[in-house]
Amino acid sequence: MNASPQALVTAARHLLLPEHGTVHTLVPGLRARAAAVLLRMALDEALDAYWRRVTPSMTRVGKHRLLCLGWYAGHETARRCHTTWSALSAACHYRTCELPPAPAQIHTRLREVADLLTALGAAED
Amino acid sequence: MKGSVVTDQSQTSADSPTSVRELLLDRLDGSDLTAEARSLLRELLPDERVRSREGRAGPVQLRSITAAGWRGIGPRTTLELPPGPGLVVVAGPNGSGKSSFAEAAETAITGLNSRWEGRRAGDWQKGWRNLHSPDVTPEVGVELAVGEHGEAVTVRRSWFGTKVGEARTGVEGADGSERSLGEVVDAKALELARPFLPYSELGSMINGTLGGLHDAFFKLLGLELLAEFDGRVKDAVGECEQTVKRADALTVQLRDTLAALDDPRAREAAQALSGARPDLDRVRALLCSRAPAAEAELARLRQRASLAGPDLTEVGGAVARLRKAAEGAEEARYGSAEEARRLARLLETAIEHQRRSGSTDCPVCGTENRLDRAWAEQARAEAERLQAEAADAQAARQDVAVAVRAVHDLVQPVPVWLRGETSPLAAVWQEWAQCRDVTHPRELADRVERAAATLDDACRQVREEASLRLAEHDGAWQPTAARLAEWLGAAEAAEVARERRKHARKARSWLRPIIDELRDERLRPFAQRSQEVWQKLCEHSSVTLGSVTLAGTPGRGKVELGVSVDDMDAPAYSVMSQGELHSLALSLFLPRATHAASPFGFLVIDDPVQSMDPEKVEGLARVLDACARDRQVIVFTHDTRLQQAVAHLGIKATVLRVTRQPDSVVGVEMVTDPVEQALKEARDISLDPNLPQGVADHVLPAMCRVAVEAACLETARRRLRDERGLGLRDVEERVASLDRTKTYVSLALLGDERQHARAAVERICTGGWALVEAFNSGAHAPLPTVETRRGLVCRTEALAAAIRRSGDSESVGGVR
Repeated sequence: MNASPQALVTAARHLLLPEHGTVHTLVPGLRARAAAVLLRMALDEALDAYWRRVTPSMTRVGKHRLLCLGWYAGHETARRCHTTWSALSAACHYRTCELPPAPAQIHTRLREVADLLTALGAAED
Repeated sequence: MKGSVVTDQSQTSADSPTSVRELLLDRLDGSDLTAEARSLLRELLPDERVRSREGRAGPVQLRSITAAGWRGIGPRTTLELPPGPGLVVVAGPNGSGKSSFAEAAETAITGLNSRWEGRRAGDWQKGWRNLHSPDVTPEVGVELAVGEHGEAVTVRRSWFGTKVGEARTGVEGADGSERSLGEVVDAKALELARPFLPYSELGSMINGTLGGLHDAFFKLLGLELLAEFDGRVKDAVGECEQTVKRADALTVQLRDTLAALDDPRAREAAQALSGARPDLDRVRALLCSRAPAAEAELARLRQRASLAGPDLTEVGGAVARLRKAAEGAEEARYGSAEEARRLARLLETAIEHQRRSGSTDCPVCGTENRLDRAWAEQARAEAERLQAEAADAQAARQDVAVAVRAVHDLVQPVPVWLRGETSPLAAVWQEWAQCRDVTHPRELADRVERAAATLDDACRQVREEASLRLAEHDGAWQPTAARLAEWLGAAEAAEVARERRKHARKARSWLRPIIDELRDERLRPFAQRSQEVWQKLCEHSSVTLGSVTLAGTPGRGKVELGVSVDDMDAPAYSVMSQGELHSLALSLFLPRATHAASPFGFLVIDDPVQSMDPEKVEGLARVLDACARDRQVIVFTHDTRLQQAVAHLGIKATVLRVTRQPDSVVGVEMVTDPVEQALKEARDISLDPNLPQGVADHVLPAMCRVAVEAACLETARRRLRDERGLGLRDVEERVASLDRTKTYVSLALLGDERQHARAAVERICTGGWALVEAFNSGAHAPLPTVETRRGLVCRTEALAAAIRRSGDSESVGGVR
């Protein structure tokens, strides 16, 4: 994965808020889900980058990374990461009987992810 | 936890610097109202109501909820709650009996269940009893921590009959003494700051109970005075209007009556009443002049009506007798009784002389032999005749005198009331009276006869006239005058009322905006809290909650919600989803139930999660977490989403699970609590072999310390409450002052954060003190391997468990 978290967020934004005149072949629900995937990737990238700065060999278990994060990046940031990551994770899984996420819902997560990138120091990358 | 405890806030609000009354008086002084309007308002302004706080128990928290034979719960089951503020999530699948606990708490404390009111109440009222346990006496109860010393008080409501109402509530103090519910739970506060939000109300609040919510807010904000004041001013205007209306109605009636009356006074009165504004002075004068004078006049008339003149037949008879006597006397006078008597005396002397002397010669003329026997006989006869004649004349004179007196006696003097009058009657009567002075019989007879006839005539005339006037008086004017007097009273009152009404109306129009302003000012903090709650719950909703205002007056008021969708105004219920309606209900419920003046240190919310989407659940968890800083927040929920949100957000919470086996045997188990939450995180981390040692050294001891401190907090709260008898406020003050792990442990084990706890720790957990010291200083042995990490977590678990055991032999969240 070589796309920067910032680029992933921008891609997600384009999916959610297409520029005027763009013709999409995907229905809004699918685009929202795609955006959720991109956003989760962005958050993962940012977390990776964060942990790389702390230690070269941080565990790959996502949950443990999130649990430990509070003691490094502050509990508030850790909580928000955990919540947002869980919500995105739920949104980007395709489940037969569940409705796709609403674009507005993912858009709020997008703002949250953008905030978190700043908090994790990944915004400048 | 920042020690911002319920009671701190309640005191500041109780001593709020200016009361509504003072604010109003202030405004009144600065107003441009007339002096009359101002004094009217001052007169109507109700007195400050003194809210007696005496006898009121302090803050109330829940220790446990118990139910038996109640709804979904068969055999007696108790839901134990951790002490102190904090979030408690009671989870359980549908039908597990968790709502039964929520309702049990509400029913025990309020004696009511909101499901028993409103629609389908009949069904609810029949189905309250658990069907699987007919042999269990139905009972709901709560154990409370009450007042300054956190006294354990049990409120138990048990049923002796089959109907919902056939129950009695018993309250028992810690020492087994019987208490009254009123002294434990302030009924008024219960109504105002209802700490219960049952599921049935979540959905119906917007449709149904906005009126009730309005009234509750009004009382909560101390605005009853405003409402009462407004009502009084309104009543004052109304009273004035009534008075004016009554006077106007009387005027119309009286005009008709007067018009039908032929009387000078009636005409005068009619004139006085005919103008646009009746001439009160004229009517007053008319009635006044009439009142005393008319009485005299009436008396005079009555006198005249009964006036008696001379009796003509009697007078006639007396006059005839007088005339006859006078006639007789006149005849007698011609015969001269005196002469006859003198002559008779002379003859008798001569006869005596003749008899004595025996001479027949006349001694007077000297004629001889004249005085013989024959002469003597003749002379005797003559003398007797003369004597008789004289007697007759005497009698005639006597007769005349008698007749004159009789006539005089018939003449009455002028009556006292007639004297001094110059009426014809008086003259005539004078004439009649003067007859008494007349003694000449004939003249008397003539004058009396004439005067009597004239007087009789005059008297009859006067009598007839007076009778006529009297009849007029009594027949028509008299009752009219009475009505006129009544009208005058009403009209005078109306005149006053008109003036008062003018001022009252001015005062009222001045007052209305001020009442609204004060109300909105007082409501603003509530409205803001509502908006905050709403924003947290519905961050991403297109619906925004703008203003929350109160409109109308208690009894007819409502809470008005400024709801807009994408910046377009819209009525709340039509644009909101069910989840949003629930969120709105919570937004309105929470500020009220967490009001500073509320004595309830707990909230019971039944299933707020239903129909909320994931973001709302997250928002809800945040909102509940905020409330749980200074209150027990007990939330019942049927799914795991709130639990998940709590876990993701790292919110400290106790999670209890309610399970229901066949035949309504309900069990409560503890899923997690703040200690377990921290331990679980530490356990998870400790088992990860790929965690670098640097991270483990940094993170794991911190996590373990959190777990130990959480165990200490819980134990300290319980110990201070139950052993030291400290109230909620004092406990939270002590707890908030803790900074280092050692002080946590000291407070938990010894009830005093300043004492050294080494011995106490070693007594309950050998080797525990080294752990405490390591947490305290942050200097831990390195944790290079999973083994060492697991060892740390195990020691921590043992220490935490020992600390908790020392505080309470009973396990939290278990079935007793």
